[in-house]
Amino acid sequence: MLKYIVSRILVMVPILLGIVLAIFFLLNVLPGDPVSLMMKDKIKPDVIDNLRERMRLNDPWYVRFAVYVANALKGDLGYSYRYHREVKDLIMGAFPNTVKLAFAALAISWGIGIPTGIIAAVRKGKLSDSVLMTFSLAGVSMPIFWIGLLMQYIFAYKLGALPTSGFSTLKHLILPAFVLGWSSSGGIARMVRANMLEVMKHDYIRTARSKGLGETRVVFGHALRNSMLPVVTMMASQVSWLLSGAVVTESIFAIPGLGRISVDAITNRDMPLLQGTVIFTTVLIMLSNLIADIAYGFLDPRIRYQ
Amino acid sequence: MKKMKFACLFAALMLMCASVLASCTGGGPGNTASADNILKMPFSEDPDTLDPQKTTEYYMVPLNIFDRLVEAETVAGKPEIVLGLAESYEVSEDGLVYTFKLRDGVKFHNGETLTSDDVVYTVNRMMRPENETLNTDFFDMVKGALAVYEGEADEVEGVIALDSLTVQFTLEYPFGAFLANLATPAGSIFNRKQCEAAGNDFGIEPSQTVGTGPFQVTDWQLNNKLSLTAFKDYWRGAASIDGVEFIVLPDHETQRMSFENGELDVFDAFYAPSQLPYFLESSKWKGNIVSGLEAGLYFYLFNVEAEPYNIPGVREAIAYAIDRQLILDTLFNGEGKVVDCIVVEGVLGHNPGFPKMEYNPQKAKELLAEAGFPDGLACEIIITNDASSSERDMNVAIQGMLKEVGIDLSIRAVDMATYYDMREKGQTPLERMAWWVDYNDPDNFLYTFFSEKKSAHYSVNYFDPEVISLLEAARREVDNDARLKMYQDAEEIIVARDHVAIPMFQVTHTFVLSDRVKNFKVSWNGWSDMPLYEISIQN
Amino acid sequence: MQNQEEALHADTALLRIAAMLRTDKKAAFGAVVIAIFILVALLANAVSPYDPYKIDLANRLGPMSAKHLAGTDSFGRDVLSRIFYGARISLVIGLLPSIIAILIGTALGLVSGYYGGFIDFIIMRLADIVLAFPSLLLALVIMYSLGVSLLNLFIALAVINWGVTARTVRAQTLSLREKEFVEAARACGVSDLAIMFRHILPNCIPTLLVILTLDIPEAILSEATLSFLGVGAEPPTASWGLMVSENKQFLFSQPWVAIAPGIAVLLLVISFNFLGDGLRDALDPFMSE
Repeated sequence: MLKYIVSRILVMVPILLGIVLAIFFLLNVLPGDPVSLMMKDKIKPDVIDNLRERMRLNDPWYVRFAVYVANALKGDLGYSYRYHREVKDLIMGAFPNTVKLAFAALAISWGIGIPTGIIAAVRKGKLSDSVLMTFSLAGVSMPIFWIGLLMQYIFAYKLGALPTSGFSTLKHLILPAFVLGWSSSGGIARMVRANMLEVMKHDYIRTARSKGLGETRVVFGHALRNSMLPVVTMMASQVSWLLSGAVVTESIFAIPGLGRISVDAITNRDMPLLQGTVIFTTVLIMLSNLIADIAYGFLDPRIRYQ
Repeated sequence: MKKMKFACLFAALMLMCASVLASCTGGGPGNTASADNILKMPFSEDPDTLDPQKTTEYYMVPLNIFDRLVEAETVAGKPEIVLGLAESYEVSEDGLVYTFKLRDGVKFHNGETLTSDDVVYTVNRMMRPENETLNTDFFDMVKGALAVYEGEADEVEGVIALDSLTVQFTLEYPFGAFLANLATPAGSIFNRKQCEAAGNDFGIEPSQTVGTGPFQVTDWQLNNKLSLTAFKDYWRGAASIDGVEFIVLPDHETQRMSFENGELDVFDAFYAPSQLPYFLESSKWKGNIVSGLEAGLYFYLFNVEAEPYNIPGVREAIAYAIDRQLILDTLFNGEGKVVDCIVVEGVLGHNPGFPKMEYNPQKAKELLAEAGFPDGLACEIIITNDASSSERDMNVAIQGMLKEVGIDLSIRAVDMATYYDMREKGQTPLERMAWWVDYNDPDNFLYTFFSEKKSAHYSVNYFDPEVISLLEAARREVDNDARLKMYQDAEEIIVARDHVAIPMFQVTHTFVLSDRVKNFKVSWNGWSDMPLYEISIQN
Repeated sequence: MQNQEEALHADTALLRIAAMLRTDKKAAFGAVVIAIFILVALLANAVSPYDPYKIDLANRLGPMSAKHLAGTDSFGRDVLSRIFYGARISLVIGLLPSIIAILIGTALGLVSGYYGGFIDFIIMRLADIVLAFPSLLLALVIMYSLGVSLLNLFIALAVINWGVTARTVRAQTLSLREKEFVEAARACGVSDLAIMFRHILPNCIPTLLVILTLDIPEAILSEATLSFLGVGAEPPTASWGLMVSENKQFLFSQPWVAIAPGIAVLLLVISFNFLGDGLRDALDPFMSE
């Protein structure tokens, strides 16, 4: 098992470097001078020269890349010109809020997706299958910005039941978490349903049935357990989905998270901040992939020996 | 066995979710109007810094945590220079020497007492290039200021402390708008000790950002909220409200919903004019609306060297083809007025008798034919791809109107790097500009866009010798009436004769207030940024 | 003989799809809606009651009426006509980059699976990199550095979507490579290229079809989201995402103007999802091969 984990981590390193290089290339090597983008035109030319010097923009790109990676390993991701702060501090300030949103959304997407998938599989072809699957697919099919706006309008404004936006209490989290969670419940429901159907075709389920076990016991005792395995792996791709979705959700509901600062970085042409947040988010996704891989190996011993 | 493992993992995950959820509970319900004594105002985005020497946009907090030697106060809707940290001042006959006597015993938030050395420090801090300040324009007429900026001197020669409470400014040339300059947020006075100790944290760290103003910064959570607390030892007496909370809400529809839900005390309709009709017609809100005409102008600025705008007739034709009133009615709900000149109403030197420009598409077509384009022509406008929606909308509306007279205007969005590159090379053909005066003087409009240096800078490339000499001479003229006349003459040449700019309109800045907010005044300049000291709350 | 086997495959696949459309009502619904949207997009200039770019400030924010079935927007443009034209953008953005991504992914996956070794390693690590990015963020970064335009949007969406295809095709190639008919072809001296494209690729087509129907809705949503965030289509383009972002300010007074384009997105995207699910069910046996 340890060997498996170590090998997974070793594979991650070159991918990570590749990702950093790709982002670095997109943001640094393509035309467009980051300094002239960042600075207001009021500033003196030699101040700009100093800044270029400090950002090492006069060096060749591979030197800058090496310096960036070396600094990043020390925890220094550069300086945000929009906010006059260390990029690292901005990310660390925003990260916990995104985590809260993502976990709340994850809870909701599993809360919707898993029961929906189970019921849809058990009642395959019936009306409830159709209705439930349509509901969870609708979540995936709506633009988050649109449904977020409508929910805000209906629940916060028209009904006055929830706060419109902001981020201080649990109540503030309900709407954004629901919007984001619903948007990723479709994939879960699809997967649970497909796996349940697959598993229920197997011999041991037929055996269990023929032994006279109740349908509930068959579903929950045998089928569910075996069909949940892939859901764990799916969690990794869900993290990616949730972090993408958080970009929009956080903008609509004014949540001070990672997605917000990356959109801010784009609108303000704050290259170091954008670079830092994108790299951080990507590392986060890779780590969750790793955890999912390990969890999968832990749950299903066959994987380890492949 | 496998079942157990899975159950454990699942339980652990659920537990994690639950604990995260639990950790954000606490605090009261979100949507009941608060009964505290704290004013809640919206921010569309966080300020980049609270240091007014290093920002050119975010003046709300600086106006309220710092004081200036003199202040621009709004009296009956008009700006007036009143005494601030200065108890009195004298101006020499030749307009070159300003002597300020400071109030005694004014406290900074950190307990330090204001002295003339703080003023000297503040000016020097602005001019030192290593500080990367952005507002040096406001002090560069002080004698020796530019020498410091260019690295030729260590101290600004023209600002000295005569004694601990007297400070004297000497100018390079008599500059009529100097007091107005000092009254801008950029003229905010800092504490030497605090500022030197804070270094780059000044304006960033709440505890380090210290002024003499009525409020002090107590908390700043990026993208969430910024809190000010009333300063108990304020020299004019503590403010009646306990503090101000600026809540960051980028989306204006969200701002409106939050306001109506009681989560905000003020709705700033400037960014969301389309919400105005509702408030104006609502019986609940129409009594809570305050507004003021902005000392700002939307206008279109030609590059007079770019084809086809190098032909005066084409510029004039475009001016005739635009129905400015219709655009004002459509995009700003008619809240404002169409303007023919550059120096708008409310600004010193405004010329009410400026030649009128009417909407006349027929005349536009004739002018085009005269200019050699009877079949119309194609032209271009450049925007940056982060342009605001109001800019985009205005361009789209104008595109539609120009089409009617046979002008095919294409709107090209470029990224900022390309834009600055084009502008540097003098290649941006036509631009929509929006300018709000920083201080009450025509200089801030006309010199900013049409002086020789700035005309090249903004890629206008309009170098009329008469205009250039008028603008330079006006800056150095001591006699006020003569000075204002020079600006008016220059303005008439620029707009009415040469059609270098098409003034569009100045808009009304409207705020909707919650029932509990009292004594909220709109600044003369219609800024969203205003002193909040006199506001009170009645729950 | 191999060709017959493959032809049989293709035929049965089509039969299964036809059977699926008869029994699976949701998939059938999806197919019909997509067909309608495609027709509307193709015939946009014929079916639109007005010019979608014609500004008429005098009739701005008109209500739903016989003249303007979905009302008019803040520039007095006919909302229904703009939605019709928007179908063009959404379908082109949905289809073209997805097809490009699938072509790239298929080529890379075939090469990777067929040759293995170092090439395989490199291609799969590249796929890992693309797959590790949160797609929306990667699209944002690409749009940031290339600048905002529809063409760049195509590039961004194509670049971020080829990873899944490459992986899937590679896996199928790996298993097909060992099949008798491939061995036989190789023994007869058929070139590698021919084996890949004539013998292996046809067997991947059902899978590719499913991936395509699932990629398209994601691309449509991405376009809408990027346009909403201001880094997608440029105004005054009639793009659904842009229409929602332009008109959300009228949510309170003219809700329909902001809601209608969103409904169009929902309808088209959910139809692709229904169809994709149906296809996957129908073609499942082909895919597990």
